[in-house]
Order: sequence, then structure tokens, then C-alpha cells
Amino acid sequence: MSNTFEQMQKDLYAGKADEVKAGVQKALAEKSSPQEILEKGLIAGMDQVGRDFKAGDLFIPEVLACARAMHTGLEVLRPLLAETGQGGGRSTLGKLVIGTVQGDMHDIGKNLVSMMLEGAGFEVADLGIDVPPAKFVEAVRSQGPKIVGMAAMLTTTMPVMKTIIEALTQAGLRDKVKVIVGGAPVTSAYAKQIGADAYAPDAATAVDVSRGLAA
Amino acid sequence: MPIAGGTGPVTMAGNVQLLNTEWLGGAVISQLAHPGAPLQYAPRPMAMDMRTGFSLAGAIELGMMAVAGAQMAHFYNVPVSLHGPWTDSMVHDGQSTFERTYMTLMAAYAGANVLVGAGMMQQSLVTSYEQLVIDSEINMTVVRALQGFEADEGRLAMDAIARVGPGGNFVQDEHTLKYLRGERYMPSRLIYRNSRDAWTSAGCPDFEKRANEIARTILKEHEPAPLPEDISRELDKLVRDSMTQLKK
Repeated sequence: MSNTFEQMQKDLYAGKADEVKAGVQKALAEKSSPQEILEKGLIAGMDQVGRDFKAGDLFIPEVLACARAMHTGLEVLRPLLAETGQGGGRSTLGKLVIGTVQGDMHDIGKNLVSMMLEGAGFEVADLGIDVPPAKFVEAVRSQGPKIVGMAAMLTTTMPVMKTIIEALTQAGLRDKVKVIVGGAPVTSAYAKQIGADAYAPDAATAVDVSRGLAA
Repeated sequence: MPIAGGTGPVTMAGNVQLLNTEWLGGAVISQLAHPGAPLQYAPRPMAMDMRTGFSLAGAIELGMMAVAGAQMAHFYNVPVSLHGPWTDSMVHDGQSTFERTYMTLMAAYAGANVLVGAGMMQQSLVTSYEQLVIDSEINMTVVRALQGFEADEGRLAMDAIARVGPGGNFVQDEHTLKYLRGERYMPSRLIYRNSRDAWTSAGCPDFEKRANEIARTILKEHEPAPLPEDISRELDKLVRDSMTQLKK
């Protein structure tokens, strides 16, 4: 049984999606619970990926391959998790809404953060690029995420993050959601200044910080 | 400006192929819109850092891809503009100087007609006066290297060598006086070339401090020569006309 999880973690680390899927099916056949497979196989595997990425030993494309493998395994588990009511078929860490703010078309970094968050077990709703404040507010209202993430690559679009936080306050939603910000020109001092809850300088830290916010 | 591994292939050949194709596409559009419009080849090959996702500015592969871009520009017979002094460093430190020197040297030897990037650091998010002083020095040094040296009869110095003879010195010889200036590039005070004692007495000014002092002196003392009246008028007219043209 533990061999199955060990192998699953190894396959996940190597980014082998088909093998991870087969591993999940094998574990189910061996009567492991979906929740156990998720935690001891998939999330445990992604934890190792996250650690090595942070240490600089794994590179972004490799991490993305791992995340893809994790999702392939998760697809098998999702209906079963829903059936048993564990997490209601949703990921274990909760929902996160993310987007690049209005006026800004840059999305490589934001996409990277999205995929890493999904890999870590968040359910991510990506609003895309050039997202106006009203759309952020609407997404928070209708989807009720635990966290909302905003990205800006330019000094000229960075202030839109402040506008969005103000819009969330005006809509009476600010205390219902945690706000995390990031992007090349953004600093922790700026995050504090505009009233965000957290800042992350890179994708790996974004995962750690979001975990903390969701806890 | 495809970013290798991000918006372009991770391989240098693939990224250069893409940036060249993008340039050709742009050239076609510009010639259709304004037949005969002047063209410049300005590849900005970049590379995504695979640990952070940042677009790198100082990686050696950028210089290599830029050189390939310059070769394509020469092939198409258009002027080429390349990134010269560039870095990923946050400050005017060894990394910054290290990266921008090889980038500038590579671009210059690749036959760039224009070098951009002077004064920029931290992935082009920051521009600094000290960096401009340092880049000016790097550029002047690279220009000197590009000039090469001549080896004509006078410069081969056979007469002088015979005159001075074994055990003598050239300091007082007329040949030295004649060729002194022009042969050797004399750097600004940024480059320290004196003794340790002299350096210690001056308060041990390091590279960054010397750049800062030069920048302050220039800001305080330099008076830019104004453009001649007629050229200034002509430039204003050019900008006005272009704006009208663009608004159409």
C-alpha cells in the first residue's frame, strides 16, 4: 500500500501523468480512500516538488509538468471525493480567484502562480488579463473565494490593485476575502500601503503565503 | 522580443528563428502601410529564468541570440540595434559590471549600429545616473577595442627601437610623443589606476562611489550645448507633422 503511494509520488515528481493516473486507480483497487490518496499520494508528491522548486533544484517547466500529472490523478478522484462528501468534490485548500489587473496584458507570471496554486490543491478561478475592478468584485461576490490574487507587471497598472481593494471594501466584501498581490514592480511595502493582506515575490512563495492565508 | 522558454522556444535557434520571423512580419506590415519607410532590425531576444519566471537581461544567451539577430540584419542589409549594457543585478556591483561588459562587447563586435540599455538595471525597472557613468566608460572602452590598431611603418616603430637600443627607455623618445595621443584610450576617473597608498589617502573610494562622484559633478557643472535654432525648429516641425500624419 505505501509502495503505491511512494511510486505515485515518484511518478508525479517525474511529471508522468498517465502513470500517476494508473497509480490512483491502483490505490483505489487496494481500497485506499480517495481522501487518503489525495493527501498521501498527490499532495505529498506536490509538497516535495514545491520544496525542490524553492531550493532552485527544479525548474518551472518541470514543476508545471508535475502539476499536470497531479491534475490527471485528481480528475479520477474528484467524483469520488464529491460522492463521499469530502471537500464536496472541491480541492482541499479552498477557492482562489486570480487575475492581471486592468490595463495590464502580462500573464506569464500570473499563469505560473495559478498552476502552482492548483498543484498545491487550491481550486483556482483565473479571470485572465486586463481585468477591471468590477469583474474582480463580481467574481468575489458570486464565487466566494477564500483568497483573491492580483498581478501587475507595470508601475502604471500597479495602482489599479489599490482601486480593486477599495472597490471590494465599498461592496462590503473586503472582510470576506484575503487579498494577495504580486508582479515585477510590486513590493511588500506597496502591498501594505494599499491594504493587501499579503505579497509574494515569486510563484513558490505565493503558494506558501496562500496556504497561510487559507488556513 | 520573444522570451526563450516563455513566449518563445527554449532553444536559442528556435527563439532566433521566431524573432526573425516576427521582424519580417513587422517589416511587411510597415512597407504595406508606408512603402519605403526606413527599417531597423531591433531584436530583443530574452530568456525566462526557469527558477523565478523573470525575463532575464544579463544572461550570456541573450548576447549570443542578439549576435545571431545582427547577422540576420546584415543579411537583410538593414541597420541593427541591440541591447548593450544590461544586467539583472539590483545595484552597481560586480555582477552588473560583469554582465553589461560582455553584453556590450558582444553586441559591438556583432556589428550593432545602435546600442540601447545605458543606465538601466534591475531588469530595466530602474535607471540610474551612476549606471550611466559606468556605461559611458564601458562604451568608450568597447569603442576603443573596435577601432583596433594600425601597423603602418611609423607605428611599427623600427627607427625608435633602434634609437633607444637595449636597456633604454621610450618615455623620452620623440616617437612616444608623436603617437601618445590617439593610440591609447584614457579612461575617466571611474577607472582607478594608481597605487594603494594614493587610494587609501583618498578615502578608499570604490567603483560605485567614484561613479556617484562623477555623476554629481556632471549634474552640477555640465552645460548642454543648445541645438542650433534652425535645427531645433526643424525637429519640432518633424514631430508636429508626424503626429498629424499618425492621427489620420
